Amino acid sequence: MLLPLAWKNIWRNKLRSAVIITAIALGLMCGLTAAAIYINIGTQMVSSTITTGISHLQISNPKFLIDREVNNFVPNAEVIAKRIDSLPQVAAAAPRMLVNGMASSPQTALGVQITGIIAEREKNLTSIASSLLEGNYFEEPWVNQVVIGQELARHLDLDLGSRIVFTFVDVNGELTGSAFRICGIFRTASTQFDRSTVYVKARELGQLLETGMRFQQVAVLFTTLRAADTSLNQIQKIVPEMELQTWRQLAPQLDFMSSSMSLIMYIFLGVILLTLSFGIINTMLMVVLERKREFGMLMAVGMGHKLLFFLVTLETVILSISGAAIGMFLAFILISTLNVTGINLAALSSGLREFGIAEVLYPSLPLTMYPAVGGMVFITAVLSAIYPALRALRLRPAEALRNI
Amino acid sequence: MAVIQALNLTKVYNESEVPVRALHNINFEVTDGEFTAIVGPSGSGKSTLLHILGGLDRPSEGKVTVGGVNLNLLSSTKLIEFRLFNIGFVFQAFNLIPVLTARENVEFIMLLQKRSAQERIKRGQELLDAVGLSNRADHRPVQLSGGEQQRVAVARALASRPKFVLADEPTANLDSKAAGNLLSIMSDLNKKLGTVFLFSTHDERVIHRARRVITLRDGEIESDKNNSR
Repeated sequence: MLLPLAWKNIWRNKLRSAVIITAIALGLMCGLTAAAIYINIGTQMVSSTITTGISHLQISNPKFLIDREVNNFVPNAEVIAKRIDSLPQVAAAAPRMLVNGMASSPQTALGVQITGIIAEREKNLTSIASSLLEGNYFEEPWVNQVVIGQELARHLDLDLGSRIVFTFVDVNGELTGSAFRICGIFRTASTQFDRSTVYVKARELGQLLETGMRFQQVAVLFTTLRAADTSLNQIQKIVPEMELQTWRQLAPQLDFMSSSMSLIMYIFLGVILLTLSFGIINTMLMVVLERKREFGMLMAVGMGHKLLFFLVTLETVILSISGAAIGMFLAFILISTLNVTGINLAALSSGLREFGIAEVLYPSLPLTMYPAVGGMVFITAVLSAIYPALRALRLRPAEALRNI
Repeated sequence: MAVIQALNLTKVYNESEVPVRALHNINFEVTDGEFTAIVGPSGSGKSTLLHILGGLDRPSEGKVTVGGVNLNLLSSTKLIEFRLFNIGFVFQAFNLIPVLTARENVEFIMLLQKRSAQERIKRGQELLDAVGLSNRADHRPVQLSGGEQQRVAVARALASRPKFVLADEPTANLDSKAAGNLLSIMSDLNKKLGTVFLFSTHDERVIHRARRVITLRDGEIESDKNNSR
């Protein structure tokens, strides 16, 4: 009978209960939706950083990491890339030539990283080919093709088919360079990447560097993040002399974001629940003060302290869980809808892309978070009930019945 | 046999700067089957005495024994349990649980006593029949008149099969007809069940129906006599 009694008691003051239930529902709905957006931002940042540039793993000559001289090669990079590519947990592996240089147009110049690639291999490794706004991915008949970012094209005031001159230091330490023609312009989630990275064919870059088909890096993309974390030893055995750098080492801020995302979300939701708990405590205190006489009567006729405490706690829990259930349901509907429609933040596009965040967000929340949040609400409700319930227990029946 | 014994009861309230003596050296016994009124003007100590006899308050001096149990020696928790199984209460302001029906209010006490559902339903129905409210059993207090609410309160008080029922000004909020009806029911149940009824009042109609009248004045017993009708 206590459960129905608690339920009926909650609806004695419909407006007050509706207000607190609505507050909890809205608080949780907003909190969960914000969490879903944050998680999507984090996931997008990690994903775009990995797929546009750094990959999951980079294999380099240790000397190259200290001194970026072009003669610090990965020996047999093409063979190693093919061998790694054949592993089941690897999605793609490709060798890269890396050299820093100056990109010049008739108007201005800018420092860039020139990446020499084998296009058909690199295509599987990065999302650049699918991020092209104009042109194509090294499909033109002419020599010295280059794919550059939209930001660099804008900065140098260049269009598709324009010529761009790269100057850099070759393997002999001599300044060299050549003119390339833009065959494709890409745009990723990061303006910084789009401004500073260009792709050319490895064979053409190797000729200019006088290194031939020798590479400074092998980049590896795994099928999953988990596979990336667990395959290091296996890869290291293939290249014992080389240095392995995981995406977590290459982008520690993203690693922190990825690993702490759930914790931060739970703290965020915990703060929301802490705020809501004051509302719950206030509501239940009003309930106890209003029903002073009734609680006095209940104790007079023989309701024990434990049962009275349980009744107040039960009312608090039902009130809170009702709000939470509605809030989580609304959040689920909202997040599911936004996951399909997306949230278009085009107005904030330039600012977001500086941080590697895409214009359109697709919020999503792991389903495991819902029961976890339900548990947090339950704990919050029980803790919030303690003070009002203790106030009820402090009543002395004779006084409660006499004073009103 | 004495159901209640009050020995040298004194109650002093120290809540204000000047201590207030509500009761002074009260001695009396209530035996099986009594239908007793405690009367006196406002402030004479009637409610205080009932609260102490019912274990809702503790005396400053003296002791109360109910069925041989010294209430002074019971902890707060034990006292609540003792009240549940031994004492029924009827309050001036009815004090029913507003969200429960008449039937549920009566059954609630038995639920606290952990009686079986079958027993609760059977006894609840019997008591509602006894107070003439079986046709209003599924109404909530707000749907009942004052007299009907007080009759539910009497049924609730008896639901726990108490040794005695304490009624604090039970007719104070009732009109003449409802008060007379309630008194008849209480008197009938007293005779039929043998349950002791002890009530405070300054209602002449109640005093007239009581078989024993204890008069308090300024916290002391002024008179204690059987009512000759």
